[in-house]
Amino acid sequence: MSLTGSISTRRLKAIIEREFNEIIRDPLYLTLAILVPPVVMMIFGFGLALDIEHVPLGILDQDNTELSRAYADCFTQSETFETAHRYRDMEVLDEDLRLSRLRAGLVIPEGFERTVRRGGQATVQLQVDGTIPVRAQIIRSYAEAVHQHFLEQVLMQGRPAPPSARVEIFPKVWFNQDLRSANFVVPGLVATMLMFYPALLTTLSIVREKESGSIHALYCSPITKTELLLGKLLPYLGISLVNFVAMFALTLYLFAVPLGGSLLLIIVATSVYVFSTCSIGMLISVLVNRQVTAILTAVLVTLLPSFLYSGFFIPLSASSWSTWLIGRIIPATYYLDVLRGVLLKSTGWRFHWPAILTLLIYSLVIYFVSFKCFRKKLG
Amino acid sequence: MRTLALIKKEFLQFWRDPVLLVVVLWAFTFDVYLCARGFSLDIRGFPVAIYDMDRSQQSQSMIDHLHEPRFRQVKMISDPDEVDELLSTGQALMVVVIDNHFSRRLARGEPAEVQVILDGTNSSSTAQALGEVSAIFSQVSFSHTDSVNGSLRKTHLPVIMRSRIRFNENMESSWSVGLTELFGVITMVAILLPAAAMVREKEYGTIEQLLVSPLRSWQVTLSKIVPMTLLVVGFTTLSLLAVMGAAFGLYPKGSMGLFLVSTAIYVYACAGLGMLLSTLAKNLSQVILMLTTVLVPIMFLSGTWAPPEAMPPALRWFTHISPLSYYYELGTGIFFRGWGLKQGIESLFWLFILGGGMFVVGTTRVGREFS
Repeated sequence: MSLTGSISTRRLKAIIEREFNEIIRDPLYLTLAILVPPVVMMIFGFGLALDIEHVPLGILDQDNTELSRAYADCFTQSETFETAHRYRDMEVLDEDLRLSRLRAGLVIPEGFERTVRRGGQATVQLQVDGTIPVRAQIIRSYAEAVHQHFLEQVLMQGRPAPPSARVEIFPKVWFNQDLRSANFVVPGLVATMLMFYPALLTTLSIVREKESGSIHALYCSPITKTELLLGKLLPYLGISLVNFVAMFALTLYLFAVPLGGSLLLIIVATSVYVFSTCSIGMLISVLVNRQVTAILTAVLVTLLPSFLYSGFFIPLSASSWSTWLIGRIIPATYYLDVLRGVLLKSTGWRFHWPAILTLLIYSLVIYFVSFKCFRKKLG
Repeated sequence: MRTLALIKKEFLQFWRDPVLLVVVLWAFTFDVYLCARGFSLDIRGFPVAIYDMDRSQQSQSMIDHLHEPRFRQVKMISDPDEVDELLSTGQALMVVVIDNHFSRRLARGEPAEVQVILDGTNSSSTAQALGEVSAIFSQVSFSHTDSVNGSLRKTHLPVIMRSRIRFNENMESSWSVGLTELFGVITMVAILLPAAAMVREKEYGTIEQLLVSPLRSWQVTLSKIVPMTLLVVGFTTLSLLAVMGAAFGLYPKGSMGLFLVSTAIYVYACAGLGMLLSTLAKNLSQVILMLTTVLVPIMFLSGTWAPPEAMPPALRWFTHISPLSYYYELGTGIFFRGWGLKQGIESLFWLFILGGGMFVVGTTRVGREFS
């Protein structure tokens, strides 16, 4: 057998047909394989767009004067905070924070009004649940905004405005002028889903036959390794491209992400990318002997890295070097660059051919490794 | 006695498949580590290009403030055409343009303008970088005017707000992210393994053998779940000690025993769901696709990814029937807030009721397949 193995179109067609028949004769599986990825992407898309709102805030007003009530009212009237709870006792407030009935607590000290009227400085305390630091930061900055609002509207009325900063900054945002979050989240989801599902579907193809033993029939047939691997991979590549069409339609029409550049470029990049992610699944399928193991491995290898190390949330050029390094070995990183570039920056082939070439080489390497690892043998 | 024999058989099956065991171990350790370490929403070394037309001491001193760790100056440019190229290729994500009147205007006491051009593709980090750069420049300009006027400008504020971060005082994001990932791994493994075990018996036809054996259906399901529960609880402990504890410094402030008990209950709940899926599916390919569809809403509705209060009311109601939301409350309660049985009893109760319910539904469905 030659290094790449010879390919007879007739036998390749037969393998593809067989795999396809197996898929088609399992209508539940086919329906799931076509529906699940776009549906999951939709749930993610809506879920990740959720903002911090209706934060349950407890207020303990130890002063209980006109001014302290005005201060508390600024928080009750804000959209961000939901203040159904007023407290009289520090311990009760503390306990409710501990029981996670509250996300934040505001304590207005005794003598608040007196201090302010005398020209002193009163200190209000805000306690924020820091369990999830990202949320705590947002809650804190919202509270500071409300506090600022109180200072300006209630206290500083009629006083001269503080001196304005001397350097004025004029920000200008390119490519995504309104900083719309869907424009950056949704392409990220397409990349993630197309890394996860193709690998997951392909990974069962060979290991399934290994587990049931039907692979022996193939071992002693004249089918070459290349024919088998390619024939097993192509049907799943097809399904994944169907998934892509659905997800891309959702991206453009449901999530209203603009398409700035060439559709053809996206299609080419996606085909190469999906080929690479199917190959990852194929490699796992060749290496392990049980379906459960293959599934778990595929999930671990594709899902988390594509979410956290592909530059999905923070551009790789603005993360630590180790993150950058891991990101560089994941195909999703390259694809996401192309996808976001073409959609939002309208960049063309000139910018993206290196990424597409990298993906192509990547796929061929993975494919070659699977080829090498796959032993066609009896027993 | 028979149940014990069956449990032994399942245990043996685990041990004889070291590859699976290694993969599960990897999920509980390395995967959780990668997640806790890798998740960061803070920008770091944000690449900035500078287009300084003024070339004065003042403009230079302002530019000098854009430094590590937040920013990284990648290029000084002198041609406006380069801006487009740099941003399109992603070599720079931000360009600061200082026009040639900058120092003259400052000297005259007029507001000087700085233009900041940003790549908005990644909107959350862009917003963050813009916030940082605004803060830096306004500080610079304040200190500049202060030194010019020679007077202290700090306005006296009548009320100041002090915030205190509770339960995770240093705001370690690796803690909550790692814990969330661990809960995700537990959920996935605890649904997948029993479902796979049941479907495997179906695919092989060995379920027929169990059918004609004197075993009752609950004995079969129990035997599949007991070894897995022990495995998951053991690996969870390992993950908490070796990864979250040793690598990230997160140790429970509350009762670890309570946490392990709730983990065991939660595993039963997931196993029930896995059994249910196994009765709906004919093969493992179907199971895994159903599983991903079920898993994503479960994770969402637990409040681990988005706070429940931000959800629309209809969705919010669903968080009350998701066992993960109670397990998550218990987990964060015990690890961050120092919960013991007294604080956790309510969540534990609901976890028990819901988890028990799911377990019973799952096993009866399997039982019906038997008869």
